[in-house]
Amino acid sequence: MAFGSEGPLSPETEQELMRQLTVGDEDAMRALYTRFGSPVYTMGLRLLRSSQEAEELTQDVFLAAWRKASRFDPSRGRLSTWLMAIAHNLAVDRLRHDRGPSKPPLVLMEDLPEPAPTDEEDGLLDRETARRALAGLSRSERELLALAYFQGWTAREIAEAQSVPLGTVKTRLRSALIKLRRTEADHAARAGVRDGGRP
Amino acid sequence: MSWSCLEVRERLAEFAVDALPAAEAREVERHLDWCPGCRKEAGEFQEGAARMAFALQAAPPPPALGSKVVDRVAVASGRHRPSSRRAIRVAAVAVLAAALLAAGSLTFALAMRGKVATLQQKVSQTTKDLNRFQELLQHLKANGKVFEANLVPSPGGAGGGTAAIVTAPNAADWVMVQVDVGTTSGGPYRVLLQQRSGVSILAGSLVRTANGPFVLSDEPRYFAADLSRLSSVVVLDHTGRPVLAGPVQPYTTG
Repeated sequence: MAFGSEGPLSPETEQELMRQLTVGDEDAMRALYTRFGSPVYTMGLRLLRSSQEAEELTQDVFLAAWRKASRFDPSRGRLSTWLMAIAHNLAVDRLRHDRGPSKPPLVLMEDLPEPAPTDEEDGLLDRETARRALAGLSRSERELLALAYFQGWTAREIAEAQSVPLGTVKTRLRSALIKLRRTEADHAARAGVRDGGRP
Repeated sequence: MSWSCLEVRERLAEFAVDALPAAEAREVERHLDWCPGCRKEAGEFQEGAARMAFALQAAPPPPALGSKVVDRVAVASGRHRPSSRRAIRVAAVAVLAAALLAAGSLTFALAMRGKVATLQQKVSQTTKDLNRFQELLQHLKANGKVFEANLVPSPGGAGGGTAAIVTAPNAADWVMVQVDVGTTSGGPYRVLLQQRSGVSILAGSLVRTANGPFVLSDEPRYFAADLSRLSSVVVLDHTGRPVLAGPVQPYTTG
């Protein structure tokens, strides 16, 4: 089965890709990297601020994906979500380990430097959809998510830094993620209706 | 006692962005392993969190990274078939590891009195090995990293030794160990590689060679894990007590 490098994969194709990965098919690993190498590396750069660390992280993520491939269940979510969750978890582990007990200064998402642009257009649709979803959040929600997602802060650390109750941080985080998910789902549903295919 | 669905669900947003303390995250993972309802909800939060990553302006990975990823998985899965160029490189690293161990073994050989002739032979062989390695290294422009640990005995103990750790971007990382534990009892001995993260990797058991020192069985020992972040190497006796240990540092020719 050919997996291609662009466009969404059906749940069946995602499952087949991961099945081939579990039996050690190198082409399946190449296909997975071709699709998701760039977003994983980009996340590494953003969180770890070092190309060397981002490279190491990328290798760790795909190795972990291979080891956990048999646990991937397409009925629970898309392959991209599963893989980025692994990537984020490993990146935050590194970030917290390197950072130690000290906290980084407060950085707003808007202030974070953008990694160098690429000529590759793969993933552009994903990016536009994601940016549209982010645009639907309030500034304080974006800041909260930036601290948690890009700075690796725990909810308790955010609550202490912003002098707000922990429960409030938890509620805002929950609400922000639900909004992100809803905007994404709405967009996917509209695209599905328009294209007559799977969102 | 494991958490209820309610306790888990009120933490799923934090879990999705890795904002939970480690102990609570582990508790949530344990629950998700068996609870399909919470798993579904966790997936939805993770869908939202992943949008953060996809909103980033993409950065192009280095061109060679894809091959490194594929190679690393191939090594981990035991399907590694080195290309001829890589085979040469691996051979070069083998020579390096042998040379490092020979050089390191001088340290404790010096402490062994009455073996001057052996020591002179060792110096001669070590010099040849190091020269050979340097030639190979220049030839291949290898960009791996080499670390060493000089192992010293715990208080009241005896012996010593060396560990050589080689990390290579396009090949499995590996370790060679050569020690004199100062006694014939206390075995079997095991070698522990301690990472800076606090996680330890069991490198394997030591076996006695015909001419005396202990080395890792199946040496050199290959690892899928990245060994460039080790903090120390420790040799444990059969009770788990450290008998030799030393910090890992970059290898220097000086």
